[in-house]
Amino acid sequence: MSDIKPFRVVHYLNQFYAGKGGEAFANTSPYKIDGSVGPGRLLEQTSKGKLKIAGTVVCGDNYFVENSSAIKQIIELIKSYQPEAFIAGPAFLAGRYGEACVEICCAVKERLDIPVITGLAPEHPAVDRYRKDLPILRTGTTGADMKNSIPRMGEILFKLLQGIKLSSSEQNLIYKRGLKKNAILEKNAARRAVAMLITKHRGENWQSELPMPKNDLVTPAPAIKEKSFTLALITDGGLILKGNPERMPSGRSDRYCKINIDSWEKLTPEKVEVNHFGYDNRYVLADPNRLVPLDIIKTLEKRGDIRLHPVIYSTAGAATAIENAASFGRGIASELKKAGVQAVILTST
Amino acid sequence: MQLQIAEYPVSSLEWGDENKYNDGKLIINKDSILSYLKSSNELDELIVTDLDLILPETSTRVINVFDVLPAYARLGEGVSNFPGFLEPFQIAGHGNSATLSNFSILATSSRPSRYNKVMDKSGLGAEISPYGGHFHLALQAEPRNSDMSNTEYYKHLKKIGLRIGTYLSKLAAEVRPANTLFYTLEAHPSGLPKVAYVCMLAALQNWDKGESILYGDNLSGMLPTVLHPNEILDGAVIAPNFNLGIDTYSFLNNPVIQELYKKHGKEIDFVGVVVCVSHVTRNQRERSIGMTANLAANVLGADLAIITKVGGGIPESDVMLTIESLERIKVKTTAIMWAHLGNGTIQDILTAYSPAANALVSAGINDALVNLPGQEKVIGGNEIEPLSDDPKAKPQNPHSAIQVRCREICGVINQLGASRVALEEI
Repeated sequence: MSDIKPFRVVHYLNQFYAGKGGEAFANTSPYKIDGSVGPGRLLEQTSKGKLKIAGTVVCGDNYFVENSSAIKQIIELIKSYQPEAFIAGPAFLAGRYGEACVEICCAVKERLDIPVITGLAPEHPAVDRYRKDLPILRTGTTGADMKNSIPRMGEILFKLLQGIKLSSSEQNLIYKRGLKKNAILEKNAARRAVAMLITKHRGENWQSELPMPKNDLVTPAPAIKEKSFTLALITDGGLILKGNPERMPSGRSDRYCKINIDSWEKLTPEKVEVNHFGYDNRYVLADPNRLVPLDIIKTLEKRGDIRLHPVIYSTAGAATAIENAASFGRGIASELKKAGVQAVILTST
Repeated sequence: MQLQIAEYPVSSLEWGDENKYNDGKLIINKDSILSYLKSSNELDELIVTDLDLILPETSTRVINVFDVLPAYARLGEGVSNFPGFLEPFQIAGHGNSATLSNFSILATSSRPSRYNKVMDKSGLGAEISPYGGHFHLALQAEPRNSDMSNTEYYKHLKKIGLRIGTYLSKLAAEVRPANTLFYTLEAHPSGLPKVAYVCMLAALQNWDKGESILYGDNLSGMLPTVLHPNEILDGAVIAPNFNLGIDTYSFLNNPVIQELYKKHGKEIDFVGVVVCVSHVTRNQRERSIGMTANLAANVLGADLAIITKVGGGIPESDVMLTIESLERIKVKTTAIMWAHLGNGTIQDILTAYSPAANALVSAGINDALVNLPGQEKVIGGNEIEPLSDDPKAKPQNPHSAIQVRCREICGVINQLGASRVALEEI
């Protein structure tokens, strides 16, 4: 291989793996270092002359998350090396670092149109969102796996650069894209089912051919026995303050909003409206209390049956990523717990 | 209960002056078939408009196929064929029978339906169908009275097809068979895991009360019950009219029963079949699922169960609930499930899920599109009715290249597990 000119690669690292420092340096703005750093050296060594790291681009984890311009700065730094391929991380299970790796890979793929690769642990939430778009190597959860991951990433990147088909064992190192097609297998489904049943009985390993979606199982809270309790109202029906001051999207939500209803007797079209692309909004626009029953709840509150939490939480549930919805839920739940709320009515559309 | 099925493989098929089966060579006399049908009163309601012989590896396409039927006959004095449906009721599953293998009867329908199927004998469609290599007799028949309901029409169509099958099988049975299959559950071996087969027969969300499914019964209000597997192999069950991904041929040649028999006494102890339907109301569904699980676990004493279904939607949910019920009482399960194309991702494959369903086997993506090449000869009509759900879809010219969903090719998507087509994640 020594007679082949190595491919020019740019490597992206966070402040920690670039040797700058830990959390104290997480606000570091993007900068570049010519040549390889840290894990990049291992990549070059193990590639045996096939890959050369022209430059390393570094950004602090917090800086990347908090500055929307970070990605533009990073792309400019990457471009300055005129790379033939790009490698980010691996980030293992690191949350912000992993998000940066996948987003930068996407941007590089789109703007520079060169092969890219990154690496994440299976539990990293970015895997499910990006595996359709990017080759992501399956890694361990910590940097202890660097010695395994980075040579594999180099080998796969080299094959992508050369347009060589990955071997089936290499394909298994990359997360499947999460798509499906029909294939013809050697045995019919009945024979495979009986074989799987026997394998399952023996306690040996078997693999279901239809994976179940990985949803959390939430045990319902016990019923409230008290006579009077604190209740909150939540909706995923896209309720917003008139004019949408919190700029809630109409679907694929990335946020939830809070509507203070402490002084209101009911919802009125003068005060609230709806932004949600997933259902016919006309009836709700005419009477928003049919989306969130504030009018009825206020009557109950006056009778002393309940105490109402003064804030309605709202998002637009249409086509929202499960990870986003789960993070809204955690955010809302922690606020409700702090406020001593005991029960919630969540109206969904 | 002991069933002995003599197999007569078909390797050549032609019309002739006489009816004869010899060493794989089947010669059929069309007139004698028609007069046999007439004498059996099968032609009182329908007129046979055409009978065609279809050969594998020829550029042929049969369209508007309503059901794929076996050539199968029970033999001997006083036996009923397809009891309760074609001939008077009696229990099936015991005695001697004959069948033509590598052969099936294609009952085509003159009534348009987007559930009718195609059968190609060359190209991709033939390659991926378990019936691709079969010889067929294609039947076309029309009602004498054009007011006849679809239910009645389909019933008579199936009867004519099955009747022809009994005729041909009895004809073959005059010579020594190439192979004899022997089915018995007797001498249950001890120490092997007991396996029950849970076989859903029909989905009542899309069903007609005039249908004959189990021994001629329409299964309205059915409570789960136990059958000997031989009853199914011997003609107790006819496929329901709403037959996406199933057909009568694959009930008689049920691949799960065949495979369980192969392992019976060696790796497993096959204890029987629980048959059920997918009901519509919540009360009926709960009762049916609960009783199914109980019959498998506590009446048959199964340690393991294998589940197949028919239809989509509610049956998918019923399978999930059946799996949960069985696993809760320590019966380990696998189930054969088709998948839906949905949004194309691996997350969107079924209409119902359960974490307990950790051992599913794929019967393929039922609605994945497939392109089939044109075929020279076309049998069964002049055009292929729109098969899609799109109201603007136009009929397709059956001679040219066509695009269909996998489930619209006979046998390719088989919910009883007869096909090798399966979902693969990419």
